[in-house]
Amino acid sequence: MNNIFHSLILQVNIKNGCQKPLTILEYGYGDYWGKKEVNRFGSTLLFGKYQLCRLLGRGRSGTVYLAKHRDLEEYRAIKQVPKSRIDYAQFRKEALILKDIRHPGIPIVYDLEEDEDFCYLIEEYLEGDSLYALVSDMGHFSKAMTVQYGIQICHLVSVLHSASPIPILYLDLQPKNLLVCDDTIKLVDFDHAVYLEEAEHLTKRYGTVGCAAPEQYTGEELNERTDIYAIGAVLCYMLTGEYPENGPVYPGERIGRCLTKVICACLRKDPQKRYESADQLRRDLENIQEQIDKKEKGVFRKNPKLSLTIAVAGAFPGAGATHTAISLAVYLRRRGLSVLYEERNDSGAIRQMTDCAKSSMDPYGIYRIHGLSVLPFYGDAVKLQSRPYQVVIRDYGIFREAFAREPADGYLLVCGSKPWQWKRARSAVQFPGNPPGMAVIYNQFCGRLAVKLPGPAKGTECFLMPDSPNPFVCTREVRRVFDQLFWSLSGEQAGGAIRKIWGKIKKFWTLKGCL
Amino acid sequence: MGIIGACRSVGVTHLAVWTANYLTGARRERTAVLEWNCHGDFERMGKFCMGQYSREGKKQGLYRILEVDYYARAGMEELAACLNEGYQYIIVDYGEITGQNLLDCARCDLKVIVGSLSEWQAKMFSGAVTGKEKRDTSWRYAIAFGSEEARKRMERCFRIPVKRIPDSRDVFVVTRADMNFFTELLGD
Repeated sequence: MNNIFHSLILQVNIKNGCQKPLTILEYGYGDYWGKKEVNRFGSTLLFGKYQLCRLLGRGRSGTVYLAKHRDLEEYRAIKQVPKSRIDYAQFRKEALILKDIRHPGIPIVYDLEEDEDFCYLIEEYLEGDSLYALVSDMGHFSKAMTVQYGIQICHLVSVLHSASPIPILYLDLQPKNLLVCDDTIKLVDFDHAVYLEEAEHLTKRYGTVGCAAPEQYTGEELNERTDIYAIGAVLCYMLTGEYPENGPVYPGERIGRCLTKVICACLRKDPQKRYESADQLRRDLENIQEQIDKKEKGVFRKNPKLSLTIAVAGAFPGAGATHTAISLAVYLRRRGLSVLYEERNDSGAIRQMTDCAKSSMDPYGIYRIHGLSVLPFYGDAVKLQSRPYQVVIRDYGIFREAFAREPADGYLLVCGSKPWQWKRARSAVQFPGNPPGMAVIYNQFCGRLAVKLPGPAKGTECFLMPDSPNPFVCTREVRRVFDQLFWSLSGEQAGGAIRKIWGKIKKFWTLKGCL
Repeated sequence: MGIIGACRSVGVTHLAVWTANYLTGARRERTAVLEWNCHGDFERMGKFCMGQYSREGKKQGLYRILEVDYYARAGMEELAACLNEGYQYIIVDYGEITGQNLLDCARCDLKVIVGSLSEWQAKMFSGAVTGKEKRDTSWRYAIAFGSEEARKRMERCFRIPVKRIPDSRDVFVVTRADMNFFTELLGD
């Protein structure tokens, strides 16, 4: 949420027919102006009940603040729009549209206020990272995540399109307006939403370059299919990190014919050739999700309620247990699983990260960092409710008794692979009290340096992890190692027996080469 | 951090012990609590908890419960020792206001005056709040008892935020809802 990002806004004046890209606006979540404003927040009370807390962001039409309702002790998002930019009737329209919709993915509007210079919209505060921020920080999403979020976006758009008595068109669907709150997509900023019957009378049209449908640039009819185009653009953005300005761009990895077909069908220039409705698009995405689940989820496909616990520890301080544990959690999340990283050591690493990211705690004591759920280490006095996750990664820090003693479905020992670390790695790998079935990861593996790695103990599998500077970005090399580890921990590998045998042969030779 | 009561039995010790458990349990800060009064509560707590919690204290009157160090009947010597021990938080339980201990409390980085707005105790709290014009933002005011209406009236009259201390049956348990209160009280 701390990124300063730019948004090129396209405004089209239908009356004179010219396309006029407006100035670049900045959303500064901590910029100089913001810091100056924050200083007076503590003492600012709006309408006798809203205590201003901080600046949330600045958009094309106004500024959004976080405020606390003094009596109810609940947070609210307050959107402040200067009257010089908008008239009250126009401002009221957004509130009227929102008031008719009741959906957990769409903010509740509580009130409208005005003073001499500004109009204020008081809304539900939704906390999360925008899709834009997540893709910027972590790189493009996996196919599983894209489809998972795509289905939710379709559902939200379908709620708007089926609003009664008059359908609503959103008309500005873009990654910055979609928040990921605990793996649930929320749609915010209804500035440009209109009732379907008003769409044809719009004198000015707005949209975001890259996401706006071709008809938004011209005077052609706007309808539900205009939003379908934007869904396709957002799917493309999640999958590639780029907008489909010059036709869809796909990353190196295999995307699959079905998903390509779906995205292309959304992005057709002729609205009549696009999907007819968001529901139709959602059904196609659900079919793809089923196929992905067969390939990606292993044992979780047969039993979605299954919960696996993987214990991770380092052979010595600095071996990279936390880095590997986070990396593994990010990898599993990319597979479409719900994952919790649980800190089981007193290093304070997670608190430092949450402070840095200014992330706040949910009702379960869990924080979100780059979309990943993390539970910091708490003392015995703290009693929290728990919630189920498909995979829980427990980071024990360094190897000690608790790691081997506490029950887990898989154990992972992280060792260094450098010559000055061999001795300590060997004593940890060959320690007689190691839990059965423990896997060993040789971290920051470098083939030239690792000529005498300790051989695996009986029943232990070894994996060679390449260097990866950012644990929140899952590179292809890291994915390959975790693919092997995941199938070894959670079930049979998809893709047939030949692939499985080939994987084992490859691993055997890799290990033999370094012993 | 100094915690002082407007009068007896308003929950100063309760808040001191609970805050220490929050700081240690939720924020993982090394914390000590000093009993700076002669009530003998800490001594009784130490004796009561001996069977339930391990005793690690070497000196008389020092014991540890759930990673928090408690110093019973502490004075300057214990405070000096604590300052050298590398604690991140030292919470001093001053008991009720006596005059001199309010001056001692004023030397802390963060001061909390605990009161009650029950009809027979409200006047004492008002008396403790009087003179707040000379106090900076490091002074906090909190109550556990009294109606919500009385709390709001107090806030309006004295133009100070008066925090409501949530119900806490067990001072050694901190829930998610309690964390919100401490975040506000400590101004995190």
